[in-house]
Order: sequence, then structure tokens, then C-alpha cells
Amino acid sequence: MDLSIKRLVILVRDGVINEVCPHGVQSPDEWAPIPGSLEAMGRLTRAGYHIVVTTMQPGIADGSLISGHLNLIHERMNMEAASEGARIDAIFYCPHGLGEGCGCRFPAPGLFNEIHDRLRINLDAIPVVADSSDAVQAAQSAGAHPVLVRTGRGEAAEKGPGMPKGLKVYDDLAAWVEDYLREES
Amino acid sequence: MSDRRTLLFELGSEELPPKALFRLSEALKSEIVDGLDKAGLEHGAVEVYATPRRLAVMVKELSGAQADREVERKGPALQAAFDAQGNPKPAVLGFARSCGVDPADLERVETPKGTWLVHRFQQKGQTVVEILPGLLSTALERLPIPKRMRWGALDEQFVRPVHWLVLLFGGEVVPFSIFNLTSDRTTYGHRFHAPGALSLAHADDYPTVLEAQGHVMPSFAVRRERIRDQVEARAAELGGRAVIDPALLDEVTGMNEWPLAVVGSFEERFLDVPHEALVSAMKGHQKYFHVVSNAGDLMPAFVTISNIESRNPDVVRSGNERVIRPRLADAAFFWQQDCARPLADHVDALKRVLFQKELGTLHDKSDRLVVLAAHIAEALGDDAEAARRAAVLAKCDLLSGMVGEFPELQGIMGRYYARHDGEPEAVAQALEEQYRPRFAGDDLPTSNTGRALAIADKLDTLVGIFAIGQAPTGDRDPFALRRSALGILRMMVEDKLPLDLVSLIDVAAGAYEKQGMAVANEVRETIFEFMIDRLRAYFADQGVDPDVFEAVRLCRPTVPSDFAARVHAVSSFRNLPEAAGLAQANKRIRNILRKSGETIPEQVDADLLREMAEQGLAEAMSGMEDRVKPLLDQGRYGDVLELLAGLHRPVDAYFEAVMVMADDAGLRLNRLAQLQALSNMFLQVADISALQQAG
Repeated sequence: MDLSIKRLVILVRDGVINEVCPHGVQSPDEWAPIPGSLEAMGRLTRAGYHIVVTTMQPGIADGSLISGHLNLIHERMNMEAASEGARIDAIFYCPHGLGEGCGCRFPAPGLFNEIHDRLRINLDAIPVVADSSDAVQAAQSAGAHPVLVRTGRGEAAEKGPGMPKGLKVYDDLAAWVEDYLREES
Repeated sequence: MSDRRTLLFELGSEELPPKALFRLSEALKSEIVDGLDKAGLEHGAVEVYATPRRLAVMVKELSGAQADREVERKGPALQAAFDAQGNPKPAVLGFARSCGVDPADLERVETPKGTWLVHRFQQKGQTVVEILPGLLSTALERLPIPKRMRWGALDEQFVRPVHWLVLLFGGEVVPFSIFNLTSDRTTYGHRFHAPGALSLAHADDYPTVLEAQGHVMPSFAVRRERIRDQVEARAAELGGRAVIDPALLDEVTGMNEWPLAVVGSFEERFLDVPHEALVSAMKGHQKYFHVVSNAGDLMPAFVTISNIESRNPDVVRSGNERVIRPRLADAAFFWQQDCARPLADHVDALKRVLFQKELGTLHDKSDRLVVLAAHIAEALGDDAEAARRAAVLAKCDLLSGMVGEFPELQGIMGRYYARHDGEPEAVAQALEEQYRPRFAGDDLPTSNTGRALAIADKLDTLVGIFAIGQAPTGDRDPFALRRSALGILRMMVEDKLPLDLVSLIDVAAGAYEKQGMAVANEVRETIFEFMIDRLRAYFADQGVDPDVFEAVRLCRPTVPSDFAARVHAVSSFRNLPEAAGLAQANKRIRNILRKSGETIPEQVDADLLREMAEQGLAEAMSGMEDRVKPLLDQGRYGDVLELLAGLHRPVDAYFEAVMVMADDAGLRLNRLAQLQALSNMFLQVADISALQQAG
């Protein structure tokens, strides 16, 4: 991986980029972007940010999703993102089930540590855009900088327990990107 | 060369598009081989590796450097090199300076055109380390990537973000930078089974390290066969056999690094649904291989490939079963729902579906097909009523729920629903067969009604699209008209149908005209020419010589099956010993007739035949005419030409003895009339003057 990466954002996939499906997205035609999310990612790319996507895929452990199909879903995400000028640099996912005790299923920080190892980048000031308290906690324990969006399961998460004090909350990814790029510039 | 080592180039990336993977890897291989060959670097076997996360090429026994070359640069001619005092002229001084040597060190070389000054030197061959970076950049640049993604700030980009590069020559890393990465000896294994870095001590270690430590089967071909074996073995355990579509096998191979077959089953009640729909659900949506019994009947089971070795295979199995169930239930639902309404109920709704802008709705198309299909059926002496009914229903299944969900089932579902509705079997079968042949080498329709509808459907599209000025040009053929035309011709030729293209085009055009759209005569002629061009390609594919085709084309037969019969006759005729001489004679006759410019009488006057050779030819010809006629009527062109081949002696004798262009006008015109009659005998089959002289 590119050693010169400095500007990086990490996005949770379901609920931030695309709509949440009750049984998880199982095929490319079930993958539906949240309005405005792809354009917002295009803005990040044009502003020189690398984008890494994270996602929990327990369907791989229980056989309801074959990892090859996950590739097809990501193929579609890549194509649609590209048509908005967005470039996804890498996708990190956890293939394990709920009870498997892996280190990468949110709220464990394993997936972020993997990003740290592979990209050799300090996650200190790296924003993580999430829609759940599990993802927020995982990002926090990895030393990254989580924010919450109200899309996906975010609205419920905002009212629920376990939210750190001072956590910034945005309506959606587009609103966060707007704010983030203004602050950074 | 002593220094020969293995070269390894690997590019690791985010998951590559599975359908493009194989093509991409083969292209990378051939670009690299091309580059090495152009650079003059000798090498042994070349292996290619491709998985969803990597493309790699391994070149065995690559020489470490180009051979040194003796280079000769040519300077001025000796004649112009020195002045009267023997001092070098400025041209020589300049040349020597540009070579970096003293004028005295230039050598002389003798040529037929005189003596020249030359500079000879040994050029050191470049090393692999010097050559590879440029070579690989070019190879990557030239890969056939449809949408090469580019993002302002990050310029060089690959089809997917690239994460690592390996470039090893033997045990050494060759420095190479591209995609903001630098080459190294570190590769990565399977995403989950071996996510850590793997160091390669030597290029040769690559496949073994990946397989033993990385949980990756790097070779596409090996992996594909491993998948095939597993799928076949698991299906056999189920007491059946897996149906392995090569395209699906390739796609699945492109989705896995460590394939493991998983079997599953589904409820038997789903087998009441048309099996094609179940297969579409399994294959299209889930990339499952379906399983049939030894008798060929679909079994309620499937085999799928997982990229991950699960600790809990039963969970994986039941998960797969859980996922396919709603798909199959959808298919069952559509089948039930569609069967509740007869196909004919959809006829009215076809008025709301556009066939093609400017060419009306599917209902309009269906009306035209009624005319055209019935005409074809009648011409074939078949049941026109069945053809009309099939044309009315032809497009109705496009409005069914099932075809909405699985578009590839068009026609097939039409057949099922028509049978369910109690339509005549000929109609049901035609509904499916109308789309044949769907691709090169596909089966043709087997029923008469099917043929009539299949020809009508394709010809209607062809005529309509030409009429609105959208005929194919160059690479652009958005309506696949070339394929349609070839399909029509294959049916006519291979099934020997007595159908006339010109009149069919007229009937098709007439059907458009009835709907208020004129099809000009020039357009009809263009369509005919387009079809004949396709016929040319068809025969070229069959190995027919171009001049044989041309000889027939010049006679403009308009019935393709008749065209084909003539082509075969001329092909065998040209193998006869008499062929070359007769072709030559016909060419000569054609020239004489073209140059004469006189009005040639229709009849030959026997009294004016003075020479023995003239009389001999006339006798030979008159004996033949009566025998040729019935053969022609039966389309036995081969026999006709074989008979006419018998004329070669009298014809040879004629040209040896007779001066055609005699001064006496009466004799001359009579001779021309005789030659014209001779030429016409051949033209009843083909213009054999177009045949090129054999070897």
C-alpha cells in the first residue's frame, strides 16, 4: 500500500454509504446507495483523501453470503462510486459470526488495527464515519476519531446507550463531508 | 548466456472484476512476452497467475541482459570525403565528431555503389534491471481495461486500487515504481486464512509459498480444474451430475483464491416450476452449479464454491440453502401468477411497449410478423394458420412476471405458457424457437412454424432498422443485425429452404408500408446486398474460395439455398481437370463479346458455320442443351457443370482453328452468336470466368 498516505477517511459501509438491508445485502441488486453519499465520496477523492471502507459480513461465516458474491456487490459499489468520481482505496471486512470471538467484529478494534498495519498510518486524527455504537466504540479503542451519522441505524444509535460524550452527529455522510472539508481547508 | 534466472512480476490489488480476470491476465502475459521479445531478451516458458486479488507473470530462464550488438553507422561516401590534399572535408569531421572518434579511425566499407566511411562499434546490451521498468509500464498501460479509472490527484491508476508490487529476478528485487508503489519481495496470502505478509526468497518460490503458506491457488487454470473436479465429485456423491457452464466456471474461478465446494438442497416442490427458471435463479443470481440426474432431470440440489474453509460446514450449507429459497419461491410465485392468465391476454398490453422508436410498439411488430410469418409458412407449404397464431403470441411472454425477473427466459416461458393454455404444439414450439440461433453455432429451429417465425422476427427488425437509417457501420452494430442476417441465412441454407430473399424483403417492407412507413427501393436493395455480404462471410467461414463465391454472386441468385447449391457445384467443378481451360475460354469469350459492340443475333445460323471446329462445337452444344434443362430444373448444378465440362475439347479446338472477328460481317456475327450461346450455358449456373487460375 502507498506509504505516502496522510489524508485518509474510513467509512462504515452499510448505513453510511448504502441503505441497510434487514438480512444484510446479499446481491448487487440489493445494494442501494444512500442519496448523496457517492457524490460526497467523490468530493473527498477530489480533495485528495483516500477512502477506506469497513464492513461486518457475518453472512460469510453462516454461509448466507459467499465471499465471491461480496466481491460482486463491491464491484457494483466501486463502479457506482467511480461514476461519481469517488475512488475507494481498500475495503476491509470481518467475515466472522457473532459468537466466534474474533478480534475484528465491532466493537472490537481489530479491523482498524489491520488498517493501521497495512497502511502503516497512525489513526490518531483519522475520521471514522459510523452509524452504530459498536463501530463508534471500535474506532475509539483503535485511537481513531469517530463521528455518527443519522442514516442507517444511526438515528436509533444516537438515542441509545454507549455514546461517548461530545460525539459529533450529522444527518448523513454528505453533511459530514461538507463540514469536514470546510474545517480542513 | 550464463546468467539466466526466473522473473516474477506480481501486482496485488483490491478484488478484480471476476468476469474480466482471465482476459486481463492473458493480456498481461502476452504484453510482457511481446516486450521481452522486442527487447531481444531470450527466455523459457511463461506462466500466468490470476486470482481476485492478484495478477502475476512468471518467466523462466530469462537472460539477464541483451546480447552485445555490433553496430555500423554509415558516414559520407569516400568519393566526397577528402579534398585534393587528402584532408577530410567538414562532412567527415562532423560525422566523426558525432560518433566520438577521430576521422582516422573511421573504417571503409565496399558496396556495389562505391566505398563509404563507416563507424563500427560494439553496443553493450541493456540489462533486465534497466529494461524491465519501462517494459512493465508499457505492458500495464496497454491492458484492455474498459473503464480505466482516473482521479485528478492520483494519476496512474489500474482497474482496481493496487496495494503491492513484487518484482524479482531470481532472488533479487528489481526496483520498479508505479501506482505510487515500489516493488518488493513481499506478497500477501488469502484475505482471511493468511492475511499477513509473505516474503519470497526467490521468484521460483512464488506458487509454492502462496499455496503452502498463503492459502491461495494462484494459477487460474489449475484453480478452474480444481473447482471442476470438486463440483463434479460433490454432484456424483449426490447421485447426479453437475452441469458446468464454462462461462460460469470462469466467473466462479475469478471470485475465489481458495475454492471449496459446498453442496445444498432445496425443497422438491419447487421442481414443479419450469426447470429453466430454477436454473436461472441458481446460476444467474447465486452462481450455483445445478445438478441433474443421470437421466438429465433437474435434481433438488446444487453445488457452490466458497472462498473460505469454514470451521462449520453445516452452517455454510444451511446458509446457502436459506439464501436460494426466496429466489426459488419468487420463481414459483411468478409461474403460478403467470399461469392464472392466458398468454393471449397480454396482446393488448403489447400496445404500450415500445419495440423501437420510429418502428412502433411490440403490438405493431406482432402485426407485421403475422403477415411475414404466414407468407413464409405458405412458401414452405406449411400451416399458415399456426404461423399467424405464433406471431400474434410471439412477444406476449415479455410481459409475464417470470420473464420480467429472468429476461434470458424469453421464448422459453412463451413455450411453457402456450402449452399451459392449450395452444397447438406447433405454436408453443415456435414461441421458443423464434429467437434461434441466439449465438454463433447455436441450434436452428427444428419446426416449420419455428423457422417461419424465427426468419420473420429477424427480417422484420433488419428491414425496419435499415429503413430508419441505423444500418450497422464498421464496429457499430447495436441491434446485432449482422448476427440476425447470418441467422436467417443459416436457416435458409442449412435447412435448404426454397425462400427468395428479394420477395421476402418486399413482403417485410410491405408490412411496414401497411402501417404507414415507406421502405424505399434503394433501401431494399441495400438490405439484399447486406445479406449477400453476410453470405460471403458465411461461405468464407466454411472454407469456400472467394472466387467461387464471386462466380456465383455475379449471376445474382436470390434464393440463398439455391446460391449454396451453385457454390458447392462450382467448388467441385474447379477440381476437374477441364476447369482451368474452360474458365480461361469463358474469360476470352467475355472479352470478345464486350469489345465487339455489335448487335449479336439471338440464333446461330447453321449454314454459316464454315469451319469444322465451328460445326463440332455446335454439335456438342446442341446435344447438351436438352440434357441440361431438366438438371437445372432440379437444381442439380454439379451435374450440369460436369456435363458442360465435356465441352472443353470442342472449345479448345474452336479457338485453335477459328478467327472469330472475321472480316465478313455475316460470319462474324454468327460466330459471336455461337459464343454468346456457349457463355449463356455456363451462366445458368455461375460466371466461371471469375474463377482464378489454380496454382
